[in-house]
Amino acid sequence: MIKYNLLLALRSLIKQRKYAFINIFGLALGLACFILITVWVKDELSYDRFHEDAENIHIVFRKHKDKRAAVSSKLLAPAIKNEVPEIAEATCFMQLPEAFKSTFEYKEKSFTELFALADLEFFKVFSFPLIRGEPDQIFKTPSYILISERASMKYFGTMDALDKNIFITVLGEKKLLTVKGIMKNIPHNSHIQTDIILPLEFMNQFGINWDVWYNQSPTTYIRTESNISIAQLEEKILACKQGHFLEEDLSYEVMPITKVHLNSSGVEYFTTTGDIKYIYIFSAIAAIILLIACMNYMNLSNALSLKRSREIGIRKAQGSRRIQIIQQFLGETFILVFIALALALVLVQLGLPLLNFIAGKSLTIEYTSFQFISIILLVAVLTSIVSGIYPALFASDFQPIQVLKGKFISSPQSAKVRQGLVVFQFVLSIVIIIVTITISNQLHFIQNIDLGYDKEHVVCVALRGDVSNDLEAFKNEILASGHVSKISRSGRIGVNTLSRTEGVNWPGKQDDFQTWVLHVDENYAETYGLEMAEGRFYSRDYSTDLSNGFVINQKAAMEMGFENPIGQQINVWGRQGTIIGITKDFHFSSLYNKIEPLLFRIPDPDQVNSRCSSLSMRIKPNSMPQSLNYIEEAWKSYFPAQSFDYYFMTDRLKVNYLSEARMGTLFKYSSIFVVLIACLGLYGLTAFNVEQKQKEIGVYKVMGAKASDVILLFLKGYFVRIILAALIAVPIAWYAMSQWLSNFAYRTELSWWIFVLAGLIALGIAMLTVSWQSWRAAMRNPVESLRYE
Amino acid sequence: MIDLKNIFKYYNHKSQREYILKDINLSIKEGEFVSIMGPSGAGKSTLLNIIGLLDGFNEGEYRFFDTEVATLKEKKKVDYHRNHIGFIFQAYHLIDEMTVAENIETSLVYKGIKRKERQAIVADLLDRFNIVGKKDLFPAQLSGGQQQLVGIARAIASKPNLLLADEPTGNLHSSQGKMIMEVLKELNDEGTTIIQVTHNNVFANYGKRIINLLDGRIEKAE
Repeated sequence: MIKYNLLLALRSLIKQRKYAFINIFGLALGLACFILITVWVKDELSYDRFHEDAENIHIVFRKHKDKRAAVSSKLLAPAIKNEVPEIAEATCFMQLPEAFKSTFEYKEKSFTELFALADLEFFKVFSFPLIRGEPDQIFKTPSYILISERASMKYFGTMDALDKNIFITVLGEKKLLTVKGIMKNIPHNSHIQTDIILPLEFMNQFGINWDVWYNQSPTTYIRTESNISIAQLEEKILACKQGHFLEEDLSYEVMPITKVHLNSSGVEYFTTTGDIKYIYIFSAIAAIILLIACMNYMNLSNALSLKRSREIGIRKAQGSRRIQIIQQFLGETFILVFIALALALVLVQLGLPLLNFIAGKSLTIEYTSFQFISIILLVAVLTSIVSGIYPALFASDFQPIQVLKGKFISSPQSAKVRQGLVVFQFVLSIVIIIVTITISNQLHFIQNIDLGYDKEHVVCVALRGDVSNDLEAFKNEILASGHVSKISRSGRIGVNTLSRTEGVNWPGKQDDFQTWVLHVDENYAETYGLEMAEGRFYSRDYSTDLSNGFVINQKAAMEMGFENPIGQQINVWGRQGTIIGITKDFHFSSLYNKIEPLLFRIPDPDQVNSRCSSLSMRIKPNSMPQSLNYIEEAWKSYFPAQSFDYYFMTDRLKVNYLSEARMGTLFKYSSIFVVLIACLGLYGLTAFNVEQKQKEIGVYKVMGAKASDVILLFLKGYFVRIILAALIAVPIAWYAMSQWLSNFAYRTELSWWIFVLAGLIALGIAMLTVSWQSWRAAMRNPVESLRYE
Repeated sequence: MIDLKNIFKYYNHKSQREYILKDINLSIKEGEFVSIMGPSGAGKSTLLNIIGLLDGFNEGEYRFFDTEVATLKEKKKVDYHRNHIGFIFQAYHLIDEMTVAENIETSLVYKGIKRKERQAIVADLLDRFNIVGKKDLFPAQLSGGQQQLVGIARAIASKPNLLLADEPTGNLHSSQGKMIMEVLKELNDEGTTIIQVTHNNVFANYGKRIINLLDGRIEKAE
């Protein structure tokens, strides 16, 4: 029995190879997309789970008013470990920002790298496996250093790096370090990513004092007892903190590190590429793609079963039970799905590099792992059941008396189901097209919005260490060369590198006032093309500017509440001065946020190296490559020890929207696949209809119908269905997209043309698909089709 | 074996009622060979389908092997199809994707007969109808007469007591038709009850009894 059904299934596959191909290919595409997205989702969900006791490791976020930040005082960790009984261990860890990129040297090998800082408790909380060294020794003195296998290979090759010396040049000073630990490379699914970790105390020698409650720099991680109440823990941490140092509007949020990767977007001083939103969205897309593929199968095999009605009739007349026919049809579906699955695995392997490119990952798939095999088998079985059950029920319901009489069964009911499925597929397709257009629209919008400054033609070079000796000469040379019109040394904007302070005071200050601080020199406004609203920017012509002048933006002026801000006395971090100018507001942060108060500050002379780690140059627009070359050459001759590490302002701004851009690309591909699969189904269905109506077409043609009349006959029905699909899709997409856009403080309109365009795209592609088939039918010689019977 | 009393079959078209069969009274005993004749639309095929439990009726009483058909459960009907009734069709209705041997074997599969035994039965039938050489061919590769032979072989494979043939020779040349009728006659001689529907006077006479249908009524029964 099974053997016969198998044989029969294979023979009918071969006989109906056109439809079998469409079915298999559609299912394979659907399965491949589903598997790829699942692999990505699984990876996103796997973050930070490799630590022993991972569910009891938490990150402590500091919440001030509504802002969450991943920083706390260095004193918090030891204090809560001592005073809060639920906390077993606590550690401070800090990933230093770009500005602290430093040069590490071993003999002739020298690299510029980012590094991180940690305290002695680091290994009591985290379980990054050590290859060499003792966990309780590694951060014991400020000159010890922990490196990864990768870094060890880079600096020491195959040598044992333990106890080797390595030099670091940071903030212009060269220090000697000793390698006291080598750890395995941190897995890619860890939110902590670094190859080099130094003790927190290392920074003390640069006059940085973090052992105070009012400084918030490192991130605090804790390991707790099992099954504790997070809410109570947060209360106790707050109580402990307030006992040492009282702050208003403060609270703490404790989050398991297994959740950090996906739930921390928007947390200050924390970068994550993950977002739980995207997990939901793409899981839904994976399901939709697979569902559309299943619907293709349903539709096509439902239609094809009409062709097999005689076979079913005979079987029933011979005494086959309905359940046996259902088994037969489901069995055929299983065979088809498993062929499709094999093809899908090939597509997955081919598509993996694309996924990695889009998602910015380097995922691999362990095809032979038990987990992978059981997942794909489960998916295949589910797919078979979802796709196969309707056609099986439908076909097994044929009455032998009718089919054996040779009557053509048109079954208006099943035709309606098929039409309904086509409409549903196109609703989903159109929604996804609208989403894709809207996202790319918004990306275009934020990349082209008037930021309030001129971001074009600005090249920024990272400054490391002490460059004060040669910088003036360098600046003079390239200015004289004519390649560069303006140069400014400053902190960085456009990324989350600014600091925010409450330390601005003035007589009569009433409300709390917070402002971002940007360290600049007097050329900043000119270099970036900032416009002044009132007063003037810092200038060399006024000797007092550098020591006691302040420039703020309009928003800051407004929030300070001065009627006449120019000339007002304010005190910033203990430096008393006068407001000399107000710039027009400009977007110095990402467009998620409204413009906030900003204060420009000239750093104290001894802090220039650490505060202003970026050199911005406005290049003359028409000869960018040559100019860049020239600057690089000059840079190398002046600062041979420093790498020429540059970026264009426009590129740096894109980083802010990287995750949106990724999502945009993912949607672009998803929509291509969704539409492709839906059209594949439509193609098959039209082919079937054309076949069914061959005689009808023949008769029409004999009666004098033109080819266009025949094509129209087929187009008409689909035209109406796709318009209907568009009408259903538009409100759904409109709602979803207005929700998404509300994340942005600055956003495009959801204009009507997006919806019209999406509808037209779907309509156009569908009409092309249908026309191709019907055109061929229309061109056939009617005698041929009428000769049948 | 077959007992039809006052059988009516009709369709309701809006307010009008269209009768297919009117007041059919017919009794057929085991071992009979009955030919049903009549012009197109007289209700011959419908009558045959009702007898074969493929179609229902609106009024009357039908006893099949002393069982009241109206109250027969679906499961029991399936059982009759498996073991007691065989069908032969005008258009043969072979399964295109199956070889000759496989086509014959299918009806045995549903009966739950073991593989070895099935193959023996199929071999016997192929032998009997002289189509051993064609056993691995597909229906499309056979002539009409040969296809109908396969259709008969399939129908009798499960040794039914009752063979229903709906114009078995309708699509065949007369010489091939004659051959088919000879086969049916032989089967009848062996004890199989046969009811055939036919337009052909000559072939009708192979039957021991002829029923003439006109407009849904039995006009003349010999």
